[in-house]
Amino acid sequence: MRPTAIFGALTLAALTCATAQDVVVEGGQVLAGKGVDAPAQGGVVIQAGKVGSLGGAYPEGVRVDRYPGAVLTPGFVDLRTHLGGLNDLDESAEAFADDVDVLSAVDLGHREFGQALRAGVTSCVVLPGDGAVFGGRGGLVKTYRGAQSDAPVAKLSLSDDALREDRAPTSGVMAYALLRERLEAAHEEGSDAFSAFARGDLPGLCYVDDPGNARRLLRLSKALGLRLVLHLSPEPEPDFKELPLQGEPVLCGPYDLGADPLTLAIPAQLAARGAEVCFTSAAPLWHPRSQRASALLAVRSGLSVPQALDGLTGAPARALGLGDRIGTLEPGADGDLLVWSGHPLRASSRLLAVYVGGRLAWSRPAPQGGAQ
Amino acid sequence: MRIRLLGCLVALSAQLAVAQNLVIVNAKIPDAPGASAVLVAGGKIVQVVKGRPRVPGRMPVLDAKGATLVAGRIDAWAAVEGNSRLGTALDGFDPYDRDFIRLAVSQGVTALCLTPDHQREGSNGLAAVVRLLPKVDGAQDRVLSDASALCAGLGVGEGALTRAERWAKLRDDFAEAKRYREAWLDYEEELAGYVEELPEVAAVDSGTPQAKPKAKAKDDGKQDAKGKDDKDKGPKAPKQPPKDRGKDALVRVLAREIPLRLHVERVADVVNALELADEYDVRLVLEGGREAYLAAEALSKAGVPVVLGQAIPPTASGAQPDEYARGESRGRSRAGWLELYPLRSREGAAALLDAAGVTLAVGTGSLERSRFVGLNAELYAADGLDPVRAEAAVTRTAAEVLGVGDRIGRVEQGYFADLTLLDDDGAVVATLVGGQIAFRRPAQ
Repeated sequence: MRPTAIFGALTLAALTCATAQDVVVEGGQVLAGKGVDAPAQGGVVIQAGKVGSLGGAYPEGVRVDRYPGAVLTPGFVDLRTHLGGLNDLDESAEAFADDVDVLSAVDLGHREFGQALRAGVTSCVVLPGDGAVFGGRGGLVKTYRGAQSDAPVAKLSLSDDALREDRAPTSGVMAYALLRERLEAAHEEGSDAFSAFARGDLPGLCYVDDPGNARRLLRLSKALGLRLVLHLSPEPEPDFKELPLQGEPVLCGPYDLGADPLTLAIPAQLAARGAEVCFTSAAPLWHPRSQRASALLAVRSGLSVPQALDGLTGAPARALGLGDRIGTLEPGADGDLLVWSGHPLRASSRLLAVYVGGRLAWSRPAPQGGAQ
Repeated sequence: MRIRLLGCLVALSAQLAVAQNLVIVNAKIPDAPGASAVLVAGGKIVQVVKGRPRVPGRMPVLDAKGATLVAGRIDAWAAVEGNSRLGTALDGFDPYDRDFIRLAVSQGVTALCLTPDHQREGSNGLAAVVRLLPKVDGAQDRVLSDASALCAGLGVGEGALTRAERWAKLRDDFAEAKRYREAWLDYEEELAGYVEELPEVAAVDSGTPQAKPKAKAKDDGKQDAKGKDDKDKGPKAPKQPPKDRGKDALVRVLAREIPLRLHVERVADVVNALELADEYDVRLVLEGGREAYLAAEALSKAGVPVVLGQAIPPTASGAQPDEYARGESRGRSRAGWLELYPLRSREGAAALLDAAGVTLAVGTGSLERSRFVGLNAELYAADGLDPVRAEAAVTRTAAEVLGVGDRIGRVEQGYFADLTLLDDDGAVVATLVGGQIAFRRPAQ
């Protein structure tokens, strides 16, 4: 099964390369990503689906798509979705589903991916739900044309959702104890997703609803060298703000307009302590546009605008170890970019166009409406 | 002009201790292009002028430093928990909840339209419009309207047949209310005739022809038994129909005194609502309307405004929005129907309604979301609605739809000084309610 999947991925990648167009996307302002030296104005040159250069002279004979006054940003990266899974990616019969790969059950052509694309999400991680302590693995998917990448991600859950009456663990304490025992045992051997996560070869996202378990897990992660990303429950839990997350990623959201003020303050509080705050929509449980809305709500609760933008682009990409490929417009990165009518963290700004791998994947229809 | 203004201030000076007086300068005021200052006295806007107005004495000055001054945001749909056929949504809100008010004004929200929730079908009580005054002593004008509309719901998450039954029930309610109203109109007419025929009463009250005879006649009505004994001696007193408070609210709708406000999402229900409004000649306001864009032309033609809820649907499919899911205890059917037949919500729906000429107000659908109604309107703009319309949908248009457009929603002389200052990023710098500074952003 594995070789077939890789072959499929390669074929897809080859197809994408062969037909990707060269294009210059020109706007009024480029927000290329944290740490990227970009001229304030000009165009993004995309060649063979990758960012070639920023600003400067355009290559000869290349199409130039002009969006006067627009703001260009990298495509958004959502670390946690269940898109294309037909509401059926949450298995809880076993507490540890060591080698389940949900991508084999995902419909990469599902219209939910289009919905995410129109929300500005160009890369998303499709994962199992929270029903098992170790739910198996998923992976990074481009939302346009179902291009699957080779970046698998493990999924864990230390929350009430993973507890059941009819199997262990039945309590949060036991869930952590079991996970620790198995992680320590699996550290040396095994080719399944769980072992790969235990060795630190695979990044893993863990949903937590209890600050105590979150702290224990962070300690364990440091001791074992795990590549752990905590996803904090959006339920009001003020103690999350104390988590020791210097330089480490943490996933926040989804938040809606009715979110508790305590919850909404947490991204700003964690960012102040040095955490790399990322935002998610958990689509389709929530609408994909909830990712940006979560960042907007965090800004209204004290998070700085550059940190919020990084939380939609660069920070989640770095959490996956893909900080040079996605969530950035530095030369060599994937040609995934968004065209906005204004700064994306000004709520009223409109998404005007989405490019994925240098292709115009979506653009806003004329004001008269027309097909969705 | 200035002299008149001075006079006005002198007249108000007696109130100075309690009244809220203030000058706001150096503001950009989209409602009054060219003007940059607002003079507030007694909690109201007295003048909107260019430059720095000359004011007597020690009037506090708020320097906007170039920020944009707009009317405070109004949540046109702040559903409270609970409902009552005979009550008002005011009962579901604590107007002195300081924590709630502090959070709301920090986001520029200064007024709410409280509505009942729609867990129960049929009439669910009256909507009310309240201002979020930060201090208890500002109790006057806290409630702008205790009957902004009569609210009703059909159970959006229900199946087609259940909703059809509820439509039938609502129509029956209206038919009964119409008969009830006619019975009372007939009674009043008969009563007037009866009073005229009473020679001695007419003689005594000849000085005040209208009001008093009615009062007397009512007494006579109560003494019906006595009247029967003397029936040869004079005309028979008409019999008073029974009173029904529930129907009285519907009668106010039938008399076009207040609108009927219906929570509907599906286009079939929008069409039914328009038919009902047409049949009984009532004013209609729709709430929700995720599928209303499919009937945009009809809504525009009928002049029916729509109060929109959350710009971002709670779920990707539009199914199980939390305001419907609350009724889960009623069984699985509710969630099931929305999952099987998701609402046909679409991106850009608000822009389509606007393009067709439908009047739009924006709310949040829940008291706990109210503080972010401004953000919600901006998200509608992000979804394609014209930004100026989106802004109006939480200020002037919202106020008009709620029937309080003469008092809030504008930066204009005579309006309440419920104002908010926004920086260039759209963040709230300060909020005033009744001229009092209710929120000021801490220095950064």
